Amino acid sequence: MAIEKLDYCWSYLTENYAKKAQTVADCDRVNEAFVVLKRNDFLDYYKEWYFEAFRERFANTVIPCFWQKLPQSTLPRDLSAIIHHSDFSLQSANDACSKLFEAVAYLNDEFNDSAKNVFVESLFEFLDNESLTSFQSRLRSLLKALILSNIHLHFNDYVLLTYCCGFCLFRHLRAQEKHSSAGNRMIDDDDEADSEAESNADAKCILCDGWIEGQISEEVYFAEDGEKELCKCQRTMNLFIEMNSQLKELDLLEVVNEDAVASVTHSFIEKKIREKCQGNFDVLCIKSLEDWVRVTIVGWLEIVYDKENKQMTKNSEERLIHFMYETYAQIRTDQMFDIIVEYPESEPALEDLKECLQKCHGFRQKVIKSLKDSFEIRLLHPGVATNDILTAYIQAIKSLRVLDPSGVILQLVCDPVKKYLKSRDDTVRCIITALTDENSELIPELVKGAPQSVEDGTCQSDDEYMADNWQNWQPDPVDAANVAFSSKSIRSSDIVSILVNIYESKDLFVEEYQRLLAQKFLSNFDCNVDHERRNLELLTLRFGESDLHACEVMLQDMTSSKRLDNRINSGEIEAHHFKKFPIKCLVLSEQFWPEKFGLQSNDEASKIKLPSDVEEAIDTYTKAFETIKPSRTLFWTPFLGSVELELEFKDRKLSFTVTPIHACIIYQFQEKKSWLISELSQSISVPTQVLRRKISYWQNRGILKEVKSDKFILVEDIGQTDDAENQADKMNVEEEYCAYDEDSFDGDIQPGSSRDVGEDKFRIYWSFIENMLTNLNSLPLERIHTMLQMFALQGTNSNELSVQSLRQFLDSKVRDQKLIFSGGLYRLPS
Amino acid sequence: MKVKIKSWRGVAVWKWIANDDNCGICRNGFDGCCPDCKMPGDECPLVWGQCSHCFHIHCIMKWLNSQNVHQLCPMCRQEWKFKE
Amino acid sequence: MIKLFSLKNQKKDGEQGSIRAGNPKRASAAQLRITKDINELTLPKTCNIDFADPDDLLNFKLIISPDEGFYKGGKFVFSFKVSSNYPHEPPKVKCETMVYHPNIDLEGNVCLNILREDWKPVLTINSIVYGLQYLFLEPNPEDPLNKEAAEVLQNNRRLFEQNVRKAMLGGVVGNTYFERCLK
Repeated sequence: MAIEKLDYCWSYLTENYAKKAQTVADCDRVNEAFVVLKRNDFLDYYKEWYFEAFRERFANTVIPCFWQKLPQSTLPRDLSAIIHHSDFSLQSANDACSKLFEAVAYLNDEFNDSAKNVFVESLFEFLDNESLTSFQSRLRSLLKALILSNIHLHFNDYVLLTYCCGFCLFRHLRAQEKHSSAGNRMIDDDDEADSEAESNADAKCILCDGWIEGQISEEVYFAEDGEKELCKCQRTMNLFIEMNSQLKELDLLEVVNEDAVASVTHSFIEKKIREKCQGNFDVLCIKSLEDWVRVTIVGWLEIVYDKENKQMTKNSEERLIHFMYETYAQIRTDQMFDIIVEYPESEPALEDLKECLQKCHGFRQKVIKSLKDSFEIRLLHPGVATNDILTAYIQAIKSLRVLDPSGVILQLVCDPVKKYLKSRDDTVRCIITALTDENSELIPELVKGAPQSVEDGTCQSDDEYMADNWQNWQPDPVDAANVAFSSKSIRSSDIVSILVNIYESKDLFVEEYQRLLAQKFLSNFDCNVDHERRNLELLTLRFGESDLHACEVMLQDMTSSKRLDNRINSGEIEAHHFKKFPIKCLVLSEQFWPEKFGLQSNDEASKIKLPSDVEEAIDTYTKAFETIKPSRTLFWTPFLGSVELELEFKDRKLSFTVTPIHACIIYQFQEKKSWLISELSQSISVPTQVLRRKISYWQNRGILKEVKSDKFILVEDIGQTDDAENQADKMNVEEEYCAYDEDSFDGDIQPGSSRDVGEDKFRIYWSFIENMLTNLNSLPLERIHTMLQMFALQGTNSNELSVQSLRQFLDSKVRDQKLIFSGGLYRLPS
Repeated sequence: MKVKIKSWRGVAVWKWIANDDNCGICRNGFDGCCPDCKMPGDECPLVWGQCSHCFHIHCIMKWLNSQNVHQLCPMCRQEWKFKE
Repeated sequence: MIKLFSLKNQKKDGEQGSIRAGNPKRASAAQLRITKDINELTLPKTCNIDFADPDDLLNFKLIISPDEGFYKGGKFVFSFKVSSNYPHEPPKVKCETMVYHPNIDLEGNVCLNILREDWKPVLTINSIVYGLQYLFLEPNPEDPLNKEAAEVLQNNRRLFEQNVRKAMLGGVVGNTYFERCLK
């Protein structure tokens, strides 16, 4: 009897547990049934059975059905593109989101049906060895295990897409809310980007493309056919919130969304940072970014996790802020080279990065490595002009001092630059030129002058430095240990000193300065001595008097020569009775001028035989000098100087300013219209190699012509000079010979040298050539010449441009590293 | 063709006309200056003695001033007399 | 090409380094002059010069080790102090080795004409070195600082030679003990 009753009750309880609708009567029957089970001590069996039945139902029916609701086909194909696209559109994700909402709701319903029904509740009224909640949580764990053990690969995509939607909705709705509540655009800057997008929203929602209620005019609403879909952002958002609470209810929330939340927050933070700092270095943004993370991202997390779960969001907040700093640092680190180039406009970016470096450990190393690498790639190779490297070096010094006042980064990063600069032979010259150029940025640096550290050996040691500045002392950063020389020089001294210290010795600079000064004076007799004097005074403050003594004497020579010229040419000196043309002289104190100018050399090359008029002029000038300065005399350096000539042809007059050698050559053609180079060499005592190079000056101007090898004739009529090009091929061979000669004779120092004048003319063509090579990559000499003649030379006398002189010009550009010449082709350095 | 020279600017170095290159006292070149001077030439001239030896004027004056009894040429030890 | 240039520069650096070492800061007239003297110095093979401080050319020691004459095999150290008045004043030279010599007294004062009345600014350190070297080859009894030694030299060259030997080996000559100064 009892058994029958028990059997009946058992059957009732096991067969009807899953029935949906239950009435009060049912409840009573269930209660009764449990009474019977309890009486027979069968409650535990039923509990176990129920658990197993739950498992079976979910494993075989509910969960497969859950997965069925999430077919792969609903997912948009290019998922990652949608998520990472900057203006995320809800439409593409809408279907998938709805499916997930639905599936979760289904799962939740099923669970509630199975775990929160009358059967279970009644059961636990009778049972006292386990509470209902404990049983339910066991059921949740079971559900979790079942889901996870059977998870579909694309499920994560569903989740990711949905959370992405969720975030966009949140941002969108919040901005909308702000927009409407603030009315007159009193919107925080931190959400600038978001709200800006909203501001142009009129009748349609930009996120879901639905019509916005209240904004849509009746006309529009009724004018078009079909149903108007309204903006469903708020509705979707509500569903999203609901889904989260359902998942939470099922204890699935964190398991399901952990990865998605992380990738959504991270990718939006990164997106935000990129928006803020793409190519934009002149605004401080780290603080506003931090605020943005705290308000927008954390605000969203609070919605996802529910506000009660403070600990959860608090932990994430700190993690996200850290992630934000790291991401910012990473992005800025990648931009470091451009930031340096744009300093001082980029100072805000540096300040931001500086703050990041204090927060993110290990990033100093990344910054150092990244900068070193980009210097390596972008600066330290032969394609870059020394001036550009120097500019970058100076920029790096200035900007890295902002980034890291200890100077350690600067020193570590710039060490290779310094070494590389040291290996280039024109570095000194570039620095000196920059230092003495009137328009140079370095002039203010020079004027600033705190010259201590240039003076070798007087550089303060660390100890002294600390003794003087102990109150401001800061410990070195850890990586200071990597700095080979612990001297503070590059870290604390001024820019000019740092540049000078590239060579760790000022002597080279002083020497080079002297050389450049000499070159300047000898090539331009009228150059601005006062300007040079001011420069010299500034340099003297820095380098000390004794080292620049020679330069002072050189300047003095310049001014006293002018005085002397005036006096001698005034006619008051009897000895100087020469009146045919004015003769002036730069009288130099030999010992104080650089040796290599050969002022008093006995070189064969330096003994030119000058025209007799000139010899006479020189003699009388010397005599006049001897009367003015008793017991002293002059030794002339005939190949230095500058001569104004006028060539008078049958049909025209031409004026030139040339070096004495050029003058002597053309002078010879007065007597005799045609010369063999060997005869000419003998006649004016100039070696043939030098002579040939000098003759080319007159050839380029169509005055002389090589009619056959080694034989030059004077061109009296313009009409004769049409076959310049024919000669070009022949020239090419000889020219290489000349280029060699140039090195040995140092033609560059010739005052008023032909090359200077020639290059002036070519400067006009240079932009044409550059464009040509940009478009056509690489070209042979002849092509460049023809094209120039076609385009650049229209309307000008094409005689002006011979192939040979073009080649000289291009070669000079190659020397200046503006062009590359290989395999017979010219091209621009990449 | 005719070449007309409109002006000629040359470069020359000046030198003392002396039978030696260096001042025996400071051993700097005559065309340089004595250790106390900065500018050669006008500011640091040479003087000749009757013995035909010459020195930077500042060098020889310093030497002569340090001799209280006889003023002798540092070179030949003859009595120093300035050459007129 | 670039390598070539850097080599050239290195060479230059080296040269300058050596010049600078002997030419600290703003050089005085005496320093400039002594620098020239030292650079032009051609020492006889019996002489050596020693700078305790390579940056200070005004104080140094000269070591003479005669290879002939009475003092053959000895080693004599002289200290040179060049005043800021150089070359208008001769350097102060003292013999730091006790020596039995008519022209060098027991305090180390040296009697050499060009170090006193016959000094003239055209003389150089080289002139003094040769003068000192000559003193060891030809001691001069005419103008003695050590009168005893001068008398012995004048009266008995053999005895003088024996005394010199004795002194150099380290021994008493007259009433004076000389420390050994043979090499």
